Amino acid sequence: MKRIFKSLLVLVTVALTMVACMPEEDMFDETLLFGKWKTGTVYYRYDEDHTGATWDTSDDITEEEAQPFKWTLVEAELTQIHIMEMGGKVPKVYIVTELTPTTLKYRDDLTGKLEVFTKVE
Amino acid sequence: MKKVLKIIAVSIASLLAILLITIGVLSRVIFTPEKLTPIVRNLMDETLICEYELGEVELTFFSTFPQFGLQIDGLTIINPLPEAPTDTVISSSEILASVDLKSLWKKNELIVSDVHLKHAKILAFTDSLGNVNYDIIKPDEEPDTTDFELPFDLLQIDKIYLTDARMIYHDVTMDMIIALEELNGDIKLDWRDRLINGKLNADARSASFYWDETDYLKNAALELKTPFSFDLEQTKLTFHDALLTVNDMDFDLYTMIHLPDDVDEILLDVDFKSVELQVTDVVDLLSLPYGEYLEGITATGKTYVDGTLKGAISDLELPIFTIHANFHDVDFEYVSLPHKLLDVKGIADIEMDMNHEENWFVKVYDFDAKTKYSHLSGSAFVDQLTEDMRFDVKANLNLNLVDAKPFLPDDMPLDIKGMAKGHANIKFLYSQFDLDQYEKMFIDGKFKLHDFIADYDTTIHLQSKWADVVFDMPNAKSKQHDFIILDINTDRLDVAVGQDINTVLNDLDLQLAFNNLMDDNLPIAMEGAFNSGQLSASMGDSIQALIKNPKGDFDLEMDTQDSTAIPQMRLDLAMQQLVANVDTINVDINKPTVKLVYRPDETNETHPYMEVDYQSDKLMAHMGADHLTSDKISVNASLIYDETQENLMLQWTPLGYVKLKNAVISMAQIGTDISIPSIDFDFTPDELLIYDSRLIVDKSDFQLTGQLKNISGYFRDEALLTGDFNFRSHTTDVNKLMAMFNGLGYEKTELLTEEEIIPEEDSYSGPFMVPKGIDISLYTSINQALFANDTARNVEGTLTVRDGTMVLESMLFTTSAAKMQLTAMYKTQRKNHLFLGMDLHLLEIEIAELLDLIPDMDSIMPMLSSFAGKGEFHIAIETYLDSAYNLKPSTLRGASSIRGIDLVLMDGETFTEIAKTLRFNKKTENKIDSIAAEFTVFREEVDIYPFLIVMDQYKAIVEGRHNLDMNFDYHISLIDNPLHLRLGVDVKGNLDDMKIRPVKCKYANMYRPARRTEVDTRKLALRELIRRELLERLKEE
Repeated sequence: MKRIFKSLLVLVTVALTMVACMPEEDMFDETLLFGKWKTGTVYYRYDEDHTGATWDTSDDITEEEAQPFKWTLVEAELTQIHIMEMGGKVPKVYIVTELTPTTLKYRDDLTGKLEVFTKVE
Repeated sequence: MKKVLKIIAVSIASLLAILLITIGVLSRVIFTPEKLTPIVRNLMDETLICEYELGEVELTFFSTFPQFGLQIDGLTIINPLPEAPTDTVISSSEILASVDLKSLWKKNELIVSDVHLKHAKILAFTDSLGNVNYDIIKPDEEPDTTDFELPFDLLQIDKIYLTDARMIYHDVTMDMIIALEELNGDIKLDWRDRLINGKLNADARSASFYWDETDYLKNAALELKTPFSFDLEQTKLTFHDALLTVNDMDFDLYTMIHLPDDVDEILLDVDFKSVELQVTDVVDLLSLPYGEYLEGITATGKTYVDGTLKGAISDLELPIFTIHANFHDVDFEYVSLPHKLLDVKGIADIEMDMNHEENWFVKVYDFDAKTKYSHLSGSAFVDQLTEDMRFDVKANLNLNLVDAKPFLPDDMPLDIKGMAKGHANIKFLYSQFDLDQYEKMFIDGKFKLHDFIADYDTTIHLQSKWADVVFDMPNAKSKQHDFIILDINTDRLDVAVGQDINTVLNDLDLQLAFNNLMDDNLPIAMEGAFNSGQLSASMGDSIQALIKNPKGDFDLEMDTQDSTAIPQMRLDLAMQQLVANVDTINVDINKPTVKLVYRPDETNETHPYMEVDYQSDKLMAHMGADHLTSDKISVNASLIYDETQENLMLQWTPLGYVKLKNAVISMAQIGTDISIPSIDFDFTPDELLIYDSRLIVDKSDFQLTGQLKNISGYFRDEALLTGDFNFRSHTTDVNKLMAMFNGLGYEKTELLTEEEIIPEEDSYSGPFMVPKGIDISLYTSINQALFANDTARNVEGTLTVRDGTMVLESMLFTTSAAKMQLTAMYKTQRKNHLFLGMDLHLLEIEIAELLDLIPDMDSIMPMLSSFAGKGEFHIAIETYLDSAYNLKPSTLRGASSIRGIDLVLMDGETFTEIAKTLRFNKKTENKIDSIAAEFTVFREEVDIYPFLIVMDQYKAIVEGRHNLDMNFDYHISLIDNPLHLRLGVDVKGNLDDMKIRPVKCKYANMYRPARRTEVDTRKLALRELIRRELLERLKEE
């Protein structure tokens, strides 16, 4: 009986441990996203009104010339809807893995490619 | 004999003794002064009404030998007038008078025959009221009804002598003084009833004549010798054959003075004639009264002077004075004349009507004179002598123009040569001549110039073998150019300007009129007309021009005092033909006319106004290999210049029109002719109105009509430049259209980086920059448009250019591949940041042709090349480009939707490998029933959203991403097959290294709504978002 109890306890412990280790959907504070982020020469700016803009200085583009997008951050899913001047919309979905006041990391929803950003200001 | 002589001597002595005793008795006993003086005094008392002072009167014999006479030791007759210089009428220190001793003795009457006045001073004075001091004789108590008689009939005077007398006649009313000093003379009288004949000899060492504020003689030596007669009955005094000498100038003189009884006047008839006189003496004589006119004159030579003084002198009438002078061998100099006149001869008539001074005149004729190089003849008439003398001169000139040079202003660097032969009529007033008022003179003339050369400074050279010149001053035809009008006619005039510009005018008729250019206070005003058979001109070796029959007119007005004043200029020019060569440019224009106007603007005189009007018939121009021809050109443009505006375009306010017919431009750079059947447009400062504008360029033909507005507001940065145009074409080459507008509206510095700016370089190379600040719509209708490598047919739509953005909006057209709707945008924020966007909707297009039409589609969606068949393709894609039109990858955005039915999946190695992995039956038909896919482009990532492919018994969902570098990562979920297995496969790598691996089926339930996962739902929603956005902008067809 004792052996059975021990086995049951191990199973429960393992079960609880397994529950604790299950990949749980992360929650991120979107306010930490506000501001400008940079990776290499690529910049993203997330504004409080859920608009944003992106530009690449290596292509001789300034922030004033940046292209706009709308964004949402639901739990860890960061969705950018890039707005075309011709009227189309281009969605991009990323899964945020880290969001601190200075660091933003997310993976591409499709390819899983990791992008790492640092806060500019 | 001695005895006889002795007796005779004794007898004579005895007689003398008796005579002396008798004289002594008479003078000492009988006619003592005590007896004679009262007699004379009584006579004076009876005769005179004025005071007198009489000295002692005594009888004399020896002083009046052989008659007895009276010697009066001093006589003064006093009749004072307040205005007279002295109260004495006559005074003499001693008077001797021969008397009739018998009458004196028996009747106590004083009868005088000879009178000798010594040192007499005589003053005849008339005051301003007409009172005379010599009215000293008592009037008869009875009315005088007899003829004129001497005041006292007891005076039977035969001779009168004056010794060292002084006579003055002073008439205040006439402002006349005649003074004779040191006058000696004698008058012999022969009394015959009522006629007195006599002889007068008199001379005065100093004679003066002053009249009307003018001294005519002053201290002149005067001598008169003349017989005379005095008719008492007619009261007529006549000098016959008198000889008058004035300052050694001798004159024959005839004088008649008549006082008719019936009228209160004096009739004068004086005629004098000189011997040959020296002109210097005459000038000296005349210099006293006319010195101001003769000042600066030096004349030598000889002259005859005749004259008359005829007419009545009364309160109402005065005589007429005439002079006739015949001069010759005169050398004449005048300080104001630069040349000495030599061998002057001529005749001068002078007439002075004392009644009418305004009628006085001088007439000179048969005048002839020479200068060193020139010859002058003619006549002159001068009147208004007492006022402002008026001259009327008719002159014949053979003038060496060298002689004319001194008449030019000293500071005028003009050198003239040649001969001018002709005549001139000159009318002017002396004051006008004195004050250089040439504009008030009347001068006309006609001259023939020979061998004429004029050099102005070293800049302008004029030359003509002969020329006819007619001029008229003033110019009655124009009030504004009233100074002179010139008509110049020559068969050839050479004009050289500087060293390089040479012009030859043939058969020239030139009319010029201008105002007084010598008056600094007047603006320069000039007008002219010209007509020439031919004008040829050259400037160095680079420019030659030949103009046939140039004619026209012009005027000019320029204020030289006000440097800010805008001159007024006008030129109307017409010609039969203009042929010109300028370096490599050759121009041949038929019947061109040019009208130019430059003047102050009427509403604001500080702004210049310009107007150009050009018309021509056939025009041909060549510049190297480039050619231009046209039938008719009409250009009219008026411009107002405002230099206060900074913008060059705003400095000019234009108004006008341009018309052109049948022009052809052939330019080597274009490589084809540009035909312009018609151009017709109006322009204003704010508007361009194109009525017709047709061009044919290579395969293209254009007709442009429409309106451009807010031009001035655009350049003031106050408004958009707006325009509405209709563009119609059968065939249009779009690429060349864009090239025509390339770079409009950009400053060069905006288009170039600093390193690229080369100041001397005029040409612009860079991307096409859409004009800023404009809003122009071009409604287009093109039957066929050559675009890229295809032909678009029935092109209809609107091209809008708005403030740096060019939009081709909902353009419908049909190409060989498909029926299309295209919306495109090209925006040029700056040279290195150019936006290009396109929304293309293709209906029923063969996928292969789509790939041909848009080759880049194979990079964006490479799987398309695996399908065959027709489909509907809709893509919106945009990007920014650099100045070399290179893509900026980070800016690439795109969204696309593809619909296809009955497609064929092209068999290939990749499909075979996938089919094998997914356990496809080898007999599977590769026909695809339908396909509906959406994909997006973000930077270099092309995302294929999950879409369903139905092929035979198989259904598969495809999604994935590939990059523009052709690396890809796809997943295919087989969701239905004959075995009902759900398999998956990942396809990764690139075309050279592709890895296909079986994986879990990812989208097993995407098309099963009940089992659809959250991810499935989200991805379908994104697809719907992409497609909806695309469809929203589709135009209803």
